[in-house]
Amino acid sequence: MAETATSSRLDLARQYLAFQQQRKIDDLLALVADDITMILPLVGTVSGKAAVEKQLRARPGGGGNTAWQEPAEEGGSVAVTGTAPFGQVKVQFAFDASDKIKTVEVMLGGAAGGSLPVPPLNMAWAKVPTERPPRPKDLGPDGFTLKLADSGSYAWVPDHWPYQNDTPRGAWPAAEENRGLAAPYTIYNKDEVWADNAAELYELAIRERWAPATQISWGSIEPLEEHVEAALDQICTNISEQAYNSNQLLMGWLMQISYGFHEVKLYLATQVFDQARHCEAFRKRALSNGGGLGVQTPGFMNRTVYATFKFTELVTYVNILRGSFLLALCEAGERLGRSQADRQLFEHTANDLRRHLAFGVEHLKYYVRHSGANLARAHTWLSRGEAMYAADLQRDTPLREAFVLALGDTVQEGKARLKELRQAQLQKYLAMLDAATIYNHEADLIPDFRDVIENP
Amino acid sequence: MVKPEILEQLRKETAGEDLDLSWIDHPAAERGIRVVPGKRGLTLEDISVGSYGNPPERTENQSGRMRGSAARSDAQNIGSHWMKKSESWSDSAMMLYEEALQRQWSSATDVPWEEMPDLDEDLELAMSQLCTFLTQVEFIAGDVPGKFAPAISADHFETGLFLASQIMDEARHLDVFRKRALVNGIGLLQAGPGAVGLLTAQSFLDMTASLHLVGEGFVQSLFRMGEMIAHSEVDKKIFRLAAQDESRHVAFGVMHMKYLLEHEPERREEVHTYLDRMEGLVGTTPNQSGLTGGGDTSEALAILLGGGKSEAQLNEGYNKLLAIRRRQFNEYVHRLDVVGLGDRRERMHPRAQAFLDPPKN
Repeated sequence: MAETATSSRLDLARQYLAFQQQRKIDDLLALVADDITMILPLVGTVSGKAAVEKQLRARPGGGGNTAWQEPAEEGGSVAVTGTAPFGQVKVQFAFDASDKIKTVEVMLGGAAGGSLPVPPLNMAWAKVPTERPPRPKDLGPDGFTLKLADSGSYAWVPDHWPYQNDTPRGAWPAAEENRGLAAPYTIYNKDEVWADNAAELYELAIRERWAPATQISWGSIEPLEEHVEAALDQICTNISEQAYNSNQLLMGWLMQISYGFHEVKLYLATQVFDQARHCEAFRKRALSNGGGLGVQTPGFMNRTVYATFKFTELVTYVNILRGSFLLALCEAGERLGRSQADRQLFEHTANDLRRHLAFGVEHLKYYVRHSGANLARAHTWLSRGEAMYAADLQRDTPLREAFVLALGDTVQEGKARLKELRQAQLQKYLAMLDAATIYNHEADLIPDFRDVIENP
Repeated sequence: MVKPEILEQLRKETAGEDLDLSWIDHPAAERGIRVVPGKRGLTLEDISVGSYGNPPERTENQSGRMRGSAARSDAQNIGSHWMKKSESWSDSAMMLYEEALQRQWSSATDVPWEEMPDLDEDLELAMSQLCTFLTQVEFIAGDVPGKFAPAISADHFETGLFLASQIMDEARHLDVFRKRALVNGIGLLQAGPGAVGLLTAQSFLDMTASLHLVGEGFVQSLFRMGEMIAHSEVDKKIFRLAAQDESRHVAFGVMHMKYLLEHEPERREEVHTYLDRMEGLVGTTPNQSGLTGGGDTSEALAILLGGGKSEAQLNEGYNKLLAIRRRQFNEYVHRLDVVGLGDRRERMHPRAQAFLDPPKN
């Protein structure tokens, strides 16, 4: 049965407001329940009689210049509206079974100003014992970089990050009961994500940013022989699709990484931004010169990227394997490209890919050095990636033929240059693995992968 | 179209006998496209022509094939992508993505850190506390969009591209506010409960309602008040740059919600449910996620707004905080009008309604 306010409850509300205006806090407190809750607009929720007493004694509120109207019943509660210098105020009182006030909720409206129930000065947050960093000096041409900012203890990255929310590294963590929700992050161990160069690559990516819309000389593209244009369009379609696939999945991994490794999250943000650029830039190229998009990829590598279970696995496929092959392709841009626009496109993309590879190499190196088991896992991923990449290359007739037509003036020359390209891609891949301390991997190449490289 | 005789000639060349060339001979994708750069260069809008534009209202494409490219008969289904355009589409995605590319900035070099003055210690402490909060929560607004990115069909890829730009922006925000806390001798201070709750979003619409419309909208309003909060030109610049980015995020979210409600008006009440939840959480609980609603960040903001911690300064600070709160809610209502949810005013939490200006007739 719904509670209804009695005339006594209306009286109690009047008394409360009168005691508040008269600053008779003891009398006011006698009206309230022990488990009272007070909700104030700038303070939030204050619970329990002791806390409410502290609040009221510091900032009673309800100043004498508020004109209160008569209390009125409102759905089991009592509401009182008033006009204060700062505008309309409404106070809602709820009562328990013994007619003690159990909830006081203050709602404000109108212009700011006048006497508000502000909380007492606390500033406990200012007294937390976090490190006081030195002020940076002599910033240099690269400015106030992340590496400069994160000095002293702010730079220290633990092997295991202990906080399950978004606590920033170096901040004083909230008490466990004030830490909010535990997040769905799955990565708390440094070896699963770390690369020593992440902070530098983040800043470098920002310095090296480019905009395809305005920084490619689209007007330099001249009509080509139709089969050559079709070939370039097919290659561009392939690159665009790979970039979108890598981009989508990498974005999806961001929420797995806990906040102790902010350098990595920041670097990855630049990589997803780069990949977005590649997706749209190569699409633009394919639509610029009388052609259109080509045929989709067979999708083995796309599926493999989608199906990754571990972050390092993703990096192995996207940064190391795909990255090496794409970079070597872009470095052949002088041969492939037929215009200034084409060459710019390949150069900018190559520059971005070098950062992706740099991150991938450093991360993979960190990962495999952490434990022998990690090295074995890396080999498993490399084998899987090679097998799937080979499957794509073997089945992708349009792409293969596109390279033949685009790389050579004749079919024979094109095939020879494709073989050279594949060798360059392979050597790039192996060099990256060497740099990641996965040495002599050539002996472990998957046979199908080796075959499609040697016989493209 | 490539002339058949050209293809024949290629097949007859030395080493050409094994060439298939059917992908050129009978291209399945539209050919003959020649897009031309406009005043803003060659933008996504410029290339949205013919079959390459016009994102389908519904797609069966689960293979990652980019819109307009030719399908393979043996294509694999990869992941699970949304079929309806309205699930993720925003008419502003292309324009906002291109704008994001043009308006990138560097926290390292575009903020005049060398000109950072010494502030009164209380103000510096307050600014560091505010920045501790901001660096804590900003990249959640990168994590959340990232969560949904894999589900966006390649037929609606422009949304994915925009989300990548938002993630880059939020990275910059985490970075710049961290640097601000570390630049002037104080460092990071008290972390709070943060904004992990936003990761609970269960759909793209849940995200755009909770994160873009409400969360980012309220932050945008706050950043736009940077002139009131900041006590140095360096800080004002930081807020201006960050506000500029937030405007794109809010615009994206608003336009997504508008598009969805125009195409699926039966989901209006669903949106109201998301907003019911967010209005109950924003600003009136004693934790930092409410920003201006209580806790350590509120006190820091009040000190900054009032210019110090004396009783008179704090009173002024909290009064200004109230004014910011009012602005946040009124700008929120305006966004709701744009989305087509002007009726929300009558349904808002009473605590939120209390901050609203009278409706314009």
